Amino acid sequence: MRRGLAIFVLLAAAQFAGAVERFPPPDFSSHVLPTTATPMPARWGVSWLDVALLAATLGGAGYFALVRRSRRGLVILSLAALAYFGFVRAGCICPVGAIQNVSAGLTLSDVFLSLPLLVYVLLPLATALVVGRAFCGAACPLGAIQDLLLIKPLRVPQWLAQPLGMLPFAYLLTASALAAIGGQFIICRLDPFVGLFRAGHSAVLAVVQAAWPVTHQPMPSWLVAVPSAEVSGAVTLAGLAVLAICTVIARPYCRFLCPYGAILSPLSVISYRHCTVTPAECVRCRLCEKACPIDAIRPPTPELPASSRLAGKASLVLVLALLPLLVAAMAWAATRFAPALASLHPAVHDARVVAQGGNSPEFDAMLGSGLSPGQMMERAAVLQSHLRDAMAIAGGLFGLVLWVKLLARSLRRRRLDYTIDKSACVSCGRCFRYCPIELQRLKRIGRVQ
Amino acid sequence: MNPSQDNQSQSDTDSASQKKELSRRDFLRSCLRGSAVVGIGGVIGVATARSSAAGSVWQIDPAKCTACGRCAEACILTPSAVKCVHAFAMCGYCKLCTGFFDNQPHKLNSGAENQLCPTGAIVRTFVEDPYYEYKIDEPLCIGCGLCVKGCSSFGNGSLFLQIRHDRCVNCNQCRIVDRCPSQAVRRIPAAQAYIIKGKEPKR
Repeated sequence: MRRGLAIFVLLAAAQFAGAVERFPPPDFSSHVLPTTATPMPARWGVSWLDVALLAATLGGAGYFALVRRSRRGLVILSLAALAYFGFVRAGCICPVGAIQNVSAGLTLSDVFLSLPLLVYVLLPLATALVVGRAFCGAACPLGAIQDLLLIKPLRVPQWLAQPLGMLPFAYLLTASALAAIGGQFIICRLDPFVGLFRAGHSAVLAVVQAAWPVTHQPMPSWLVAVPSAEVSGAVTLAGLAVLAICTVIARPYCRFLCPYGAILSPLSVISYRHCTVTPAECVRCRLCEKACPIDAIRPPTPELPASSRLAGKASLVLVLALLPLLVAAMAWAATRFAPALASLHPAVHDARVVAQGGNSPEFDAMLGSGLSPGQMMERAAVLQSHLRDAMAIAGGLFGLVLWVKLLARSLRRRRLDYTIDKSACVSCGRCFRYCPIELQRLKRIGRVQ
Repeated sequence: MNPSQDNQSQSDTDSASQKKELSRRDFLRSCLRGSAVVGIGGVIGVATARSSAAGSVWQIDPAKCTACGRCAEACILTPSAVKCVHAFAMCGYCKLCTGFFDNQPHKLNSGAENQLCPTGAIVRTFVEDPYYEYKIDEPLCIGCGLCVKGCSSFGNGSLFLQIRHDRCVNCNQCRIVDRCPSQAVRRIPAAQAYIIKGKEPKR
């Protein structure tokens, strides 16, 4: 009876698995069936250790940037972050890419969101509210590698830097919209540094392996990750190009692409505290003017003639009136990208491949799944319309960001001192030693007039 | 320094207006900061309800897999973290195993010219007439799925592909997910990290 039940269960399971029992399994009298090994995962994504290390690094960054005002401390922290988050964890997972997990986790019912990962993403954001973008300057491996590679910083002219500075917002919103419908994680896919981190990870491990104690205990195989598919290909070429650019342009990824920076920078603007160029009062000596390689130090504003007041007011009114137009235009423009972007969803991609006809693994998979090409296209159309909605929201938000930027430009604020632009500053501490007041504080020089 | 009365009052009103403006800005900033904290808290609240502490891993659903062979090259690891596994309880222990032998084998022995597996990763051992046992030598397996296709087309389908978690580095976005034609790869709870076909023997 039990045996019959077992066979029934087996048959049912086989049916479910799409398998057919063409040859009944033999009933051995003496032979014992081997078991199917199921080695357990060595690591499950983000662990609490990663969270603890991130928290410690962020705390250290705040301390070195605000209390100790030590560039050296910040550099040491960022090297440690590069070593651990970059080369030990092979650059995966990072809060930058994990935004997509949160986006998918919030909208899709079948996506798991682990608690450490959530904390890992939100910890730098919370820190930004307290001390600014300390994450970028000291805890982010992507930031660290860019900072290290900088040899001779060239200025990016404002007319170019301002529009390029909008890219991170577009990237963030597009990637979140795509992740929200279950599409590819393009931030992970287009990360220019992950190939380097993985290659470095393997190189480090090769050394460790060579020095591994001569016992019969093999190294855990999850440690022996040799990337090959990722290191070849267009993305890696782009990665090398970005690395080359990093030598002359400071933090190009941080400033002009990083989607996480697009969240951190507005939070940093309203931060409770932030590091400053000078430890006390600015004496307007202009020594820090060229200190910042990412142009985050704003000079005092020139005195404007009273006659320009009216023109300024007119442009302000114009910008204020522009809001609905900008939001609507951007929402509409973003939906135009939906059909092309939808291909980055596996189901849409497969439906399109099948629709093209011909024999393909996608076609075989369709035959196995019992769906008709029509049903696949229907599903693809539904997903595409979801993406269109998500992109409309993303585009509207982008319009809003654009409007806020325009508004900030048309508002005239008197700046008397050299001040830090909190939205751009990554608290790298480069400017500290340029300030004579700082040198005075450190007792390197005498009293400054 | 000895400023005139007029200058003094001028600078007084200046600093007063500056102070007032600054405090207004500070007030706005505090409001925004407060709402950002509420926003982050909201995300934590909503997401915590849908998150698990255990985490998740990538796995292939054998019910959907068509053994197209893309796993072998799509994975960032070389060789792939995907390997063939065997559900022995489902196996027919066939003498002529269509997962082991090439289409038209010269002889039913383990000569390389007769084998389907490009790396000779399947070990064929005699059990009792006419039954043979097939085991996967995992270090040799590259996850190409040729044997899986052979077994599921003509046999019981006891050979199938799984992501091996002793190798998988659990990329945030699995490269295989993007290439899989049947969307068979998905995240599953790490506590139950495998989808094993059929039924495991009790022993």
